[in-house]
Amino acid sequence: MMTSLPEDAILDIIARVSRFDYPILSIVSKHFRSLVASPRGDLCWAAPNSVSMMSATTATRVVAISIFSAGKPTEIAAWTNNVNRTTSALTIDCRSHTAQPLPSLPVLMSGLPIADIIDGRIYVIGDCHYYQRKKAVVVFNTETQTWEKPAMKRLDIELGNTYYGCVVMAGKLYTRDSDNSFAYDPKENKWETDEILNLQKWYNACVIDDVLYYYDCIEFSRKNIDTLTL
Amino acid sequence: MSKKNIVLKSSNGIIFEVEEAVALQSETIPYMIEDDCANDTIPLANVTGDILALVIEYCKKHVVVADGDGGGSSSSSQEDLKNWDAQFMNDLDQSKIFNLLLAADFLNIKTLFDLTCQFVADTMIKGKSVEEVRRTLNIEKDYTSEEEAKARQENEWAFK
Repeated sequence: MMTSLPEDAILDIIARVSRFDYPILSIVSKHFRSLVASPRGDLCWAAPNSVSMMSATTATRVVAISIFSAGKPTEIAAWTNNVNRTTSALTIDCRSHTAQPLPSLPVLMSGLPIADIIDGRIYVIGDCHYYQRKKAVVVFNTETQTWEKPAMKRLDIELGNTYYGCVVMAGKLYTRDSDNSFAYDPKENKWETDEILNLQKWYNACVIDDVLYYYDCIEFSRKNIDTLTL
Repeated sequence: MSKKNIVLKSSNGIIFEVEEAVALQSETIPYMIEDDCANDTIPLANVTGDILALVIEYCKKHVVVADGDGGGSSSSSQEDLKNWDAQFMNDLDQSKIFNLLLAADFLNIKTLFDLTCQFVADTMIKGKSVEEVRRTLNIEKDYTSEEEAKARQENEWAFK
């Protein structure tokens, strides 16, 4: 006789399965689909800053950069990067793994734009082609689903390569180049150097419960995940 | 110090006498010893004899023996244990694996529960087809044909 497993054992087993097997599991039964579609399972994205996927509409491989939560636990936003020019943005539904395009960026951007969300607005920072390829900020309002005007905000600081990524803490967006760390206050549209973060060579960072977790560029030791309590 | 033995009785009445250290890998058994008289046989109503034999085989292999210096050391190296675990699981059929998992859950033997759950995840789900997962995990299909077609369509991205 076939033996069946109780619910708690099934949950424990599914927790050990790679996300790559979730699509199969969600077809096995409605119950399994509800298990793998739970928000708990969808929050496992730990500060990734790039992913590649197949575009369902064009069947071409796209590289998405600057992935972050789009305000809902089951939705992330990403920018597609096509030959170093970023014009398209999309949100990805983590339950169905389908992507919805956002309206095209109002300006052409390059240089690996970074982005994050603060109070329902997505801030994208990259090299603006209409501004001698200097860094600028463009803002997407997730409520009205439109890019805000003016189309771009220039930076009053010298921000170099944004390869290190960005995080949002306490309503401010933090990023860094090879020399300095900066904080951007969207309410004031003001940039300033962040002295505390300046001391750290952080990248691939994420914030969980007001604690910044980051990878230290210099010390490739076991203690490479360091924390900075705010 | 003389070794104390504990007597376990399976659901179908088979008696096993094991050293205390072996039995105490189960976090359930100490409660049963407290509840009953320590010298009595501990009845395990949820575990059959063949499965209990497997549980004891696992626990004997994993028992931490006290060495001469008074400290604790594992009876085998970690590497050996891992290989032994893999072989142990590979020799079992689906029904035995599930019953072993249930016994590990009931007896609260964390390492055995982890081992069996991981084995099921790795051998019965990972890389398997929908039909294989349904069959091995004995899951009834609760989708209608239309619903299943829709679910397959939604997840099509994963199969390209």
